[in-house]
Amino acid sequence: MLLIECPHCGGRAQTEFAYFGEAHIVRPEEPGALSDAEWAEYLFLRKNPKGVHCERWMHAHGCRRFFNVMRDTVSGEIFGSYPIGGEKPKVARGKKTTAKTETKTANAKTEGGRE
Amino acid sequence: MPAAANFPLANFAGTGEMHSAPARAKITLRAKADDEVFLSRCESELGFALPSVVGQSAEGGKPPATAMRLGPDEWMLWSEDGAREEWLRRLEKAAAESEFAAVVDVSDYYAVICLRGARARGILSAGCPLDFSAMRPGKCAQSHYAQAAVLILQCGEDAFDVQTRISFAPYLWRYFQTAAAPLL
Ligand SMILES: [Zn+2]
Repeated sequence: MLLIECPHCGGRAQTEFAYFGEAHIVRPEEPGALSDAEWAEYLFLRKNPKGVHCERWMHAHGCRRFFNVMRDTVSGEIFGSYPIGGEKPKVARGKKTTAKTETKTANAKTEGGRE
Repeated sequence: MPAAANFPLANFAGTGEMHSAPARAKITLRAKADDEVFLSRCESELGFALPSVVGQSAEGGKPPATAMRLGPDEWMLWSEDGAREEWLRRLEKAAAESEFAAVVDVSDYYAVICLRGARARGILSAGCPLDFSAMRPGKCAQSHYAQAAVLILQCGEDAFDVQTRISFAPYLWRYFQTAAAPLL
């Protein structure tokens, strides 16, 4: 599971979020001027990279705000969250604030927390 | 409150308990975070400032009320059931000058289950990914408990109020009971 940083609520488990695909896709100014191929590209074609990917997430079970996340699609490592229209984070690998596989604390486990 | 959300008191073998909260007023406030007019008018109506940090609560006022900041433009106000009309009237007055502000009575849309005692964190951790060891009294968070969307307010050292949509309340209640069983 990913630990995703909501810009408003802080680090939360992936299960609280909804994924909305590739970020930075701008709707064409004049859809009527596009060819079918260009319109299809806008609607359906995505980069789907093996590596660094900018993607939209929405904090569905929290504040319900959209924001962008920069993530490595191979390792799951997250390089940072940033607001829609904001500046992309730097790709700095191996930082502490990256994807985690475990979000529960040891404390919760010893108290008898079950999945 | 519909009968479905009125549960008997459940006692966890002397280590705590849970009960459905008596009906309470619940009011959603929406406004832009930089709407200073709304914020200051709310403060004078409430008798205390709306919390400025997401995940923080504040309380005060007469009748006593608790305000939780749920997001950059959203707050939830809880108060006693009889205060519903009065708070609606006063908060609508506070929002009257704002173009983008809303005051909505959601009292009957949600139910609240109160968890009390040393087992409360363990029961919550069984179905919710929040880190309850890091949570402190006065903090609130929206999340999910199993499949139910919840708003959780930590109202004391070992005390949590869990708000959920009223039709999810029986599901949440049974899930809490199941989660509590191995902790007894
Ligand atoms: Zn959030």
